[in-house]
Amino acid sequence: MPERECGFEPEVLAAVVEGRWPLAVEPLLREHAAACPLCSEVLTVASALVPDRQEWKAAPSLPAAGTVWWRAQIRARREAAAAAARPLLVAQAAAFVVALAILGMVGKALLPSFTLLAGEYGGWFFAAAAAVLVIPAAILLALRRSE
Amino acid sequence: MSLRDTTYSELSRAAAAGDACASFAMDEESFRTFYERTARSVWAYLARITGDRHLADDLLQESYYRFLRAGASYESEAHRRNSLYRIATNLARDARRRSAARGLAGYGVEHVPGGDDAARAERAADVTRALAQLKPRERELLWLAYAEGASHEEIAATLGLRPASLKALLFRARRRLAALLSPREREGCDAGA
Repeated sequence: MPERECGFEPEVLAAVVEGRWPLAVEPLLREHAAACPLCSEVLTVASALVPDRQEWKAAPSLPAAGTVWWRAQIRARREAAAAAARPLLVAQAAAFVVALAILGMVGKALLPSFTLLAGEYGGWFFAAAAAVLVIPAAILLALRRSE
Repeated sequence: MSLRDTTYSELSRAAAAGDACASFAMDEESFRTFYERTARSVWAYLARITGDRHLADDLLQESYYRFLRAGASYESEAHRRNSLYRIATNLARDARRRSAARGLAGYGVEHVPGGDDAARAERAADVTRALAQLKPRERELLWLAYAEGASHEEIAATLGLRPASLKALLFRARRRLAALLSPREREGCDAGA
């Protein structure tokens, strides 16, 4: 099985990364890199990527450290506020469900009377039932949007 | 809500108010020093592994935010830096998965700006073409190993690999990139263009 590693690879790589290749390295190392296929590969790859990295590092206009810091502060505070509001929303939703359940039980108990009344006052009955359901839902939705 | 959505007026108000800071494990002065030392390298890494400069801009800020929010304590500067690179790598992978899910996967071929020097521009183009043909993990491995000069332990920690499997992966990736960068391969690409 061919060797996958040469003991001189770290030296060759360090020389390229530190900008010493090829003029400020030992001639023996240069000769070895020319003859060793593994070190040649290291040289080819590092000689392409090291200057490429320098070009890319020099290129961009990055946001200032202070800007990144303060943006992070503001976002962290927003997330903390949203997390603090979550239990309140859960309580509101639970109260709504309980109210619906109570309404349902009362309605079921009074069904015979409702049947009689619905016949006479059906329209008013359904309007009142819709208001009882829709208004709390609308309030809950508005509260969630405001956060 | 991304960091980019924060307006400058909000920043100014927060800075002027000087009100209580969100609790990060790092103070502002330490963060500024760390950012000045690492931001350009991290940005270059993100730009080269994603192939998208604009995505690198977004991922850079998100990386530092998550780094601050992690609130971890670090044994050394190197440990802190590895953690940042790990966060950046994971964010780049998540972005790639989202793009792939939307059918937008692909490596950009945008070259280094300011390329008035034709030789520099050509070299950058060669590297871009070669990196575009590699798998994402190969780009990560090669950049950390041969552009950044990171040790195998650092690379393994950053990419979530076992050191034992890292050598083989790195060997294969290096071989591929060296072949793609070879003059014969480049002539083949030019002939086919």
